[in-house]
Amino acid sequence: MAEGRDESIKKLFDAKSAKVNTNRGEEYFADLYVKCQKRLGELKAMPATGGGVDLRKVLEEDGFERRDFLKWASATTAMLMLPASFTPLVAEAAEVMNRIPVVWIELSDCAGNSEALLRSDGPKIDEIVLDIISLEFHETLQAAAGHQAEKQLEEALELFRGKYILFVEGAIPLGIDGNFGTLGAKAETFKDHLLRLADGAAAVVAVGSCATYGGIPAAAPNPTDAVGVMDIVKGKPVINIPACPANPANIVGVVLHYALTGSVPELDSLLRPKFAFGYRIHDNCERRAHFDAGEYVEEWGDEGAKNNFCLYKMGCKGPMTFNNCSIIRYNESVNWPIGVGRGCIGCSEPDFWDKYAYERPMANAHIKAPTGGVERTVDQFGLGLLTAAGIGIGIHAAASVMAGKKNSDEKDA
Amino acid sequence: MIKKDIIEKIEGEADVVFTKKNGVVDDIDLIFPYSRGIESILEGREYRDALVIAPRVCGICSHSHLIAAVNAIEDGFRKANIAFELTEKARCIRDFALSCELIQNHIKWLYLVILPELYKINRLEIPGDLIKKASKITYAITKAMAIFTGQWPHASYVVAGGVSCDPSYVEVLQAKALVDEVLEYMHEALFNPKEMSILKDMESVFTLLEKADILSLCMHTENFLALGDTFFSRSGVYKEGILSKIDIEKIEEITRYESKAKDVLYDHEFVEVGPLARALINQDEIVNGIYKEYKSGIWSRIFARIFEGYTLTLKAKEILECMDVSQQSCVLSHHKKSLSFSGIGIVEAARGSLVHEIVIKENRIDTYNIITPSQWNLSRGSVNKKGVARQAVRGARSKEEAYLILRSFDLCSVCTTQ
Repeated sequence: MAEGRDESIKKLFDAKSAKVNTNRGEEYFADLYVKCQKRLGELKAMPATGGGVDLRKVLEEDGFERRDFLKWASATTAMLMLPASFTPLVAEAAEVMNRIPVVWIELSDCAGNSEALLRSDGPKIDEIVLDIISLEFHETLQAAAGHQAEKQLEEALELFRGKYILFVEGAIPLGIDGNFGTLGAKAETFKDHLLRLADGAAAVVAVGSCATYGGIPAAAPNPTDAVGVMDIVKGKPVINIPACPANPANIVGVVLHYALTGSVPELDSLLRPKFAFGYRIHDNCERRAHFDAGEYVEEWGDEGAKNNFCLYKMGCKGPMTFNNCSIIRYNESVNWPIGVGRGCIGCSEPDFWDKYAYERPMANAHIKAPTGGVERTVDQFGLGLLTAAGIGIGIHAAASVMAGKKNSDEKDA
Repeated sequence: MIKKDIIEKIEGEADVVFTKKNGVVDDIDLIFPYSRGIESILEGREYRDALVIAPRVCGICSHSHLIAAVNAIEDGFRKANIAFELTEKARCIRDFALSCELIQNHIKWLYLVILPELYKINRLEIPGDLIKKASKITYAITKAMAIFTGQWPHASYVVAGGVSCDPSYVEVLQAKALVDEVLEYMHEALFNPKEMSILKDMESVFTLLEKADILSLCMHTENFLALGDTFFSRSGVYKEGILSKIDIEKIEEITRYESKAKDVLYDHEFVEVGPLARALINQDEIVNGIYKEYKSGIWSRIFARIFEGYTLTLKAKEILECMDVSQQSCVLSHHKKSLSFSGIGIVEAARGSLVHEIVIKENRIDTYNIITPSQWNLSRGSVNKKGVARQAVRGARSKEEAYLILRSFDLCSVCTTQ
């Protein structure tokens, strides 16, 4: 094999795909620290909104020790890509999160993100989100229904105008003038509903792949002409937290970041927070060593599967997918799809239902592999994924085998 | 006097139009104005894609949809003469995960839907700790599930011929500890295992129903159906006290232009599906005792559902105890040649019988049809022949009572209109 090709393959897989700058120097962080302190001071002076509850008390009642909470805070600090010295600030931010009003709406969706959120980790959901974040309105979780719910929403919108964060779950169907989805007695379309609520929001967070890119409703042939929040909401900060379901840790992370700094976290070109979507699944995958060694699962349930080998040949999209599930995992970090021997389906990338599909190795899936070497940043990489033609990532599967590390076919030969 | 109103609550939304006569609810009309067209999204794709797309029909019962999809594919394989037998281990893992999904659904419904509604109807303040109580069980049980499924909701660990995970005994023990935690909680708050009597929170349900004088509210024509033969329930029809066998051919789906949801009938009749139906068809003695007294009223329905959650927890523990992890996870290798087949997958989901029907032509999905539990219970029907929930709300003395009746079926509009 030509050396140049070997070299470029090597570069592709050694590339620090995500140039997320986690070390901005002492001065930057010292500055940020002071800013955060000031911000937290301001929040503390504000009254807790809605059903705000004292986090400390709740934790105590629930038998959580301060140590458990600080452990969670230090993990969250790391997740937000802040230096360890910020841990006390993150802990404080969690305690004043009830000053930030949150409105959560569901459009064209399956309620999966609410379900995932309901079992968020750390200080558990009831403490951290339902008590600590002041969830002013949630269509699925709240006790009120019908007219009563609409009234409650109107009140929240008026009272917290310009201050609340709007969380949106689900896509927006635009077909037949938006009449695939309507809400309330006035039959407001999802689009109008979203625009009205976004108008008074400080920021809009699209939760899950449907709200981000249209997700499953937008998959071919897109029967309802569904689109994502960023296609509708203009002139407002939009933050995307894709994945199906979105990881609750990242949802909480965004609110925490906002409480801490008063601003939205740094975003990539697809408006995803870099702290969560700065790296590929592949970069931190627990099975990565097997990829490097050329050890693959070739059939469900084979020897490779029993030994937790790399799932690339079974169609795993980890090398093309930006997300932190390999670190954060799901359901209180107990596991994640690759942990149960099922490849990543690429659910945090645009159009993944049509472009990525599953169980088809990428070489057969008609998707273009990313190009670029060490200099590429996550932004360029993300765009490259969509537009650039390049070396099929599948070559590596062959290349590492050719490198003589391991060839499962040899056994048969 | 006709008054249009809206109902929207945990798990979806639907429009309800109430018609009152002499101060009581005479009739309702249920309209599901919303649809994503998932069946048409599935059509034309490779059949294995159904295993990742079908769960997304509903984030609440994603695992049931996953199992229905794989059952449909495996049924099709068998009909196409591809012989295979799932290992006991693969079956155990699927059953365990399904139990977990049902348990968390049942428990969440009790604490987040039923109890708050009952406090409201009695004009009492809703206790603040209900969400915490629900989350205690649901955290533990979904965590136990994710040990085998990778995540919940939207797990995708199931493949035709088995499962992709290969757990060790350490993981089985980890799951068992979590199930024990759930059982302990249930023995404290719901059922006394020694005397088989109800405890605290179930007592609250009974007392609140009694106080509002609605224990037997919500009766219909006593026609029940369960389509699935599963590790915890049998299939059958239970009509006016008589139990008979099912015949899949008798299922009939009717498109209704007013709503995105299709009506579904069995043998030309509307039937109730779900935990109460399953318990009656299983001839469960305890539930039968309650049914004799309260018929198809609210208390029977609530008791049957929560009691099923409890018995499933015991089953889940049993499954873990006898799981042999040394067996194969998956017995089918991938078929290289092009396949054409059709199959039906049936699952008993939290709210009742779920059906996926597929026709595959040369590896591509030709048609995909889904019948969901809420479609059975919430079929509209006509003025002369009304759907089950529509029969049940008749005579409700207030809007609150009518809401409570509808919620005792736990409508899921997400599923119903897909």
